[in-house]
Formats: sequence, structure tokens, C-alpha cells
Amino acid sequence: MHSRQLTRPVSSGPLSSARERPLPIDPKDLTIREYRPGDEVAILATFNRVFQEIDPGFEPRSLAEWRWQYLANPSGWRIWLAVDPEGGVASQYAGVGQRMRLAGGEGSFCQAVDSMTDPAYRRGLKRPGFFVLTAYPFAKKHGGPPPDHDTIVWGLPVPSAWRIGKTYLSYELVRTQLELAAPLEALELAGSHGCEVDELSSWPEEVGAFTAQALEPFGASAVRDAAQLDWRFVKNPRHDYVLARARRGSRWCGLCVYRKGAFDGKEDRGLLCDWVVSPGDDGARHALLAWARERAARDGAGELTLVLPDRAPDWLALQAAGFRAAPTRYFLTGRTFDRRYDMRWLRANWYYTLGDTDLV
Amino acid sequence: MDGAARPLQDVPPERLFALCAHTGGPAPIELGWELANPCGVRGAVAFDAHGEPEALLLARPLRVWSGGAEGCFVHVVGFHDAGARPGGLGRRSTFQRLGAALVAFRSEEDLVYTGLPDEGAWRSAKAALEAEVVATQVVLRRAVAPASARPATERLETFDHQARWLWERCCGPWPVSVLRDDRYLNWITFARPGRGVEVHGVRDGDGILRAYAVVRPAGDELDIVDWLCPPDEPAVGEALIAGLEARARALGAGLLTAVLPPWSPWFASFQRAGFRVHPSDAFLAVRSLSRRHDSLWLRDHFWVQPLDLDA
Repeated sequence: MHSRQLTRPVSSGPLSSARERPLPIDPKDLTIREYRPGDEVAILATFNRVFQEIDPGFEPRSLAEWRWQYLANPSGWRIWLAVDPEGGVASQYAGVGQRMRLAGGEGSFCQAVDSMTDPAYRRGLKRPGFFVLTAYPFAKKHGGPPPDHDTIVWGLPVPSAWRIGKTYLSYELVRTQLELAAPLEALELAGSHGCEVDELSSWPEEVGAFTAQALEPFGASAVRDAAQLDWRFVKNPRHDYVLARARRGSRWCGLCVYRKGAFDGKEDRGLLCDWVVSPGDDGARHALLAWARERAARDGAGELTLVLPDRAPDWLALQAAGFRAAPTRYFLTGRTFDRRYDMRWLRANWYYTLGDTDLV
Repeated sequence: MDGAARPLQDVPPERLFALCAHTGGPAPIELGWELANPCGVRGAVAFDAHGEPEALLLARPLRVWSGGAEGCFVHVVGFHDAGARPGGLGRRSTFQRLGAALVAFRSEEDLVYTGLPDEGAWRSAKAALEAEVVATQVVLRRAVAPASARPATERLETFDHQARWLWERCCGPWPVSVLRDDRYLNWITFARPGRGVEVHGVRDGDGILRAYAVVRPAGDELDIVDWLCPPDEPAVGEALIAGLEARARALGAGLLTAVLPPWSPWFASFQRAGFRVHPSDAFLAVRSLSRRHDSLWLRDHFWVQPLDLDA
């Protein structure tokens, strides 16, 4: 499952390339193993080459960015590789860990990202290919019931990864993902009921308690504590985000993370990358939307856009405020390692936003 | 299921009626209606060791237009089993065996099996038909507005050749859709026993059918189960909605609903008309027999309405 936001849709994913090179080494000499410190140079070399070939707008990833995405993640990394005798990386199945609140307890999910196989290693091989062969030990080590394993491996795959994943790796569809978008002039905002919004430079410790309480009605949500949110939005080496807190006095009632950027092929959108509002707090919702509208207007973004599960109460509340639902190219897929948490359960119980993904 | 499965059409109707009576399957009048499908019949029947029918997997072929040619999508309607033989420990269930038989008995024109299963049926369909989810569904819903001008719609009691004209004016942007002509529409609406649906249409001054909707009253809702209106004629669509609202008011329904593919221009148009997008438990599941019509392609290209899915 490769959820990298390609600069334009591709019909075949990072597993394929029109260019064919001679096999650099006999595939039998490849070793499938977990990441070891130092592998990142070879991983990046393959990653940048593979994605450059299929995505003309691709900007190569830096070592600092790679280390941030995997090694610095407070929820951990999962990386399995097919490596040649010289240390070159032929294939990768990787994931970004997510500590979760799951059915009232602790748990873990993993977003599969950046999976790839050097096209040179796709020639002359019997199925399944290295994409699948690296995914098998990945699943064996990381997949399993809570609290110690990744109960769900999820992603937003490109078509080729989806077709292989459902054939070999039990990928299933969670949801056809819609977005909510509102032109700034279409927003219909009511009063904030005493709620104020302030911008933050980093997340204070109490954000963890607030988000745990606000997201308690959901059976599954990623832990949004200060460490996780700082990693995701403050220390991100590629993008700058604006953090906002809604509060009444010292009491938290909402948070929003904003940046102007592209999503689903459209440029210059006011992206609400993370969005958490206390259940039923209309004032907090409207205060944060008023703040985001002003931010977007200052940035020259014509609309506000976000992604939420359609079961979230704010899905309807935001439509009442002027947002409209529209299709995206994305579809959310998952693989469960615990029958209690199947795709239907996820549809009904999982709260996520764009910030859970690597799309923004 | 000890004997071989046989195609539905090879089994005398009276034996099917008896099986359905025994298994809680469709009543004879309903099964008779299925057997009168102008597109033909599909299904598989299992027999016990004594040669008696013991299970039925009933499916409904629907003629589709795709890529400049006609074909069939086959909607899986239901499974009715007297033997109640579950699978497990390497043994395939009767449903699984009949699913395999249904595919084995397919016609050359059958492209895709469709279903809108509930959770129980989904688990079985996944195993029996190797089905996969194409898309989760959302429902467009709005409160019925107070009475306004007199609606310009009429209630239809039959479809004629104009139905196909209308469908041909609409289907250009649809890579695949069920072919809507008078034969199909009269069968699936007016001929259906206990039909429970009404059809309302808009005609122009020359009496030409410009749009229609098939609706089903359901408690406080009036559900649009089939919507056919050219997207570039918004005024016609507005007139039709106004007519449906009038009908909803007359029936005492407070809500109007529709299910439209998000890629369709009507998805945005309905929202502009005040409909809001609500979640639902429904999802479209398919087993494709055609490389072209895989699940991703169908998600973005299949104009499908609840009427086509027995919903």
C-alpha cells in the first residue's frame, strides 16, 4: 500500500516501470530481512529512483526526511527489505506505526507506505514478487491482536498495490473516501459561544488528555499526545503547519492543524490536516472554522478541505456549515489481524483525518 | 448437497416452488416474476442424494451497455437452503459450492456478479463468490420542503419506447449502466408482485418524457430508487424533485432520499439542492469475470441505482 501523494494519478503504481534494466543480480542472492541502521542510504537510492520514474513531479526525499518519517516516529517504524549482497535495496514493505486507542484500551495500527520494488527485479520472477515476499515477514512480526501488535495494517494504495494486496495479502476496502470542501464564501458560521482560538508553536502536554476525551466516543483513534503531534506537525522537515487550539479559559475544546497545499490533484487548498472538536461543541467548531477561513484568505487559498470518516458527527455538522462532499481518487483499505476488528467495525468506529495519512 | 448442481433454468418451476416453500424462499408469484425476467434467468440448484432439490442460489441478469456493446451483469438475489450444510475443516459449504456452480453455468455475456449484501450475506458471498467490496454507499437526504408551486410532474403507469430515448440521452457519459428500456423498466417496476414503488415523470409540451424517478415510500422517507434525468438539464431535475416532494407530502413522508454515484454530476447537484450526504451501512460488492470491469474501474464508472440492486 503506497499512499505517497503522487503529483498526478498513475494507472500503474510504483511496482512497475516502463524502463527495463538488466537484472543487476540473481534474485536468489537477495536476502529478505528487517531494516538495520545504515540501510537508509540504499533505501532512499531505490526509493528516489523508483518514484522518479513513475511521477514526473516527484521531489527526491532527503535523508533527514526519511529519518523523521521512520526513526523519529514516537509510534515506531516497520521496515522489511529485500537486500542484495552489496547492500542495495531491491524491494521494501514499510509502515508508519500508530499508537491507538482501541476499544477502550491500548492498541496499534500501521499505515503501509513507500512500498516498492526496483523494476529490474520484476523481470523473470515467478509470482508472488518481492513486494509480497517482504510483506509476509512484516505481517508475521508486526500483525496481531492488541495491545502489542498492529491489529490493522491500512493504507491508501495505488491500483497496482491494491490488486496485488487483495490477491496475496488480504487487503480489503474499508471505505470509498470522500472529502469535504467549502469555498470560503460559502461558509455559514454561527457564534463561538465564548470559545477563543490561539495559535501554538508546539503542543502542550495537556493536548493528549483533551484528544483522548474528545475522541473517546470512537472505538479506534490514533493517540494524539504532544509527542506524536509534535512529531507529525512541528518537526516535519517538508511542510510547515499552523497549529490552533480552541479553548474557553484554560479548558480545551478543539484543535485544528492548517496548511495551504495540494490534495487530490488540486493546488492551493486550505487543508485542515487535523481536526478534533469536543463532541457537540458547536461553538468550538465554528470558532476553529472562522480561524481557518481567515488563515486561508490570508494565504490566497480559495477553499477549506478536510477528510473525515462519514460516521463522525462533524461529517454532518460541517455540511451544515457549508461544506460539501465530493469524491477523491483515494480509497481506504485495511488488513485485519484480529477478527473482532474487521472492515465493517472500522467503518463504524475509526476516527481519522488527513494528518493520520502521509498525504498532506 | 450430495448430487451435482444444475442450472436454475434446467429445473422445472414446480420443483423450485416446492423448494422455496420448504426453505422460506420467494413465494411462487415472486419466483415466477424472476423467471419472467426479459433478460433471462440465472441461478444454481443443489440436489441431495435422493435427487431432490435442497438449495437454490438465485441471481438476476441485467442487460448492461458498456464500451459500445451489450453484456450482462448478474445480481445475486438470495440463497435458500434446506440442507443447511455449513463449511469448515476443508469442506466447502453448500453456498460455496453453489457459488462456484453459478460461475460455472455463466453465459458468455455475463461480465460481473453484483450484490448489496448485509453483513451475514457478505461473509458468505466473500467465500462463495470470491466477492470484493467496490464502494461504500452514502445516502443523499433532505427534509421535504413546504408546499410551493403546483408540481409539473405526472405519475406514470407504464413505460413506453420513450424510456429508452431518455436513457440514451443520459448514458453517454456512463461507461457502464443497466440498459433502461420499457421491457426492463416495466418488468422491474410495474410487473413486480407487491411492487411498492411509484414512478413519476416530467414531460415537455410535446409529451416527450424528459426525466423520471422510481420512488418507494419507506416510513418517514420517500426513497428515490431510480433517477434518470440528463445532468445538463437541471431545470428538469428541479421540476422532478419538486414533484417528488409534493408526493412525499401527500404520503406524510418528511424526508426525500437518493443514492447516486459520487462521480456523477447529480451528486453535487443534489447537494446544491439542499440534500446532505449521510453514511449508510450499504456497500456494493462484486465478483468480476471481466478484466476490464474490475473493482476499481467499476467504482468510478458504473452508473448504478438501488433499483438495479434490489435495494
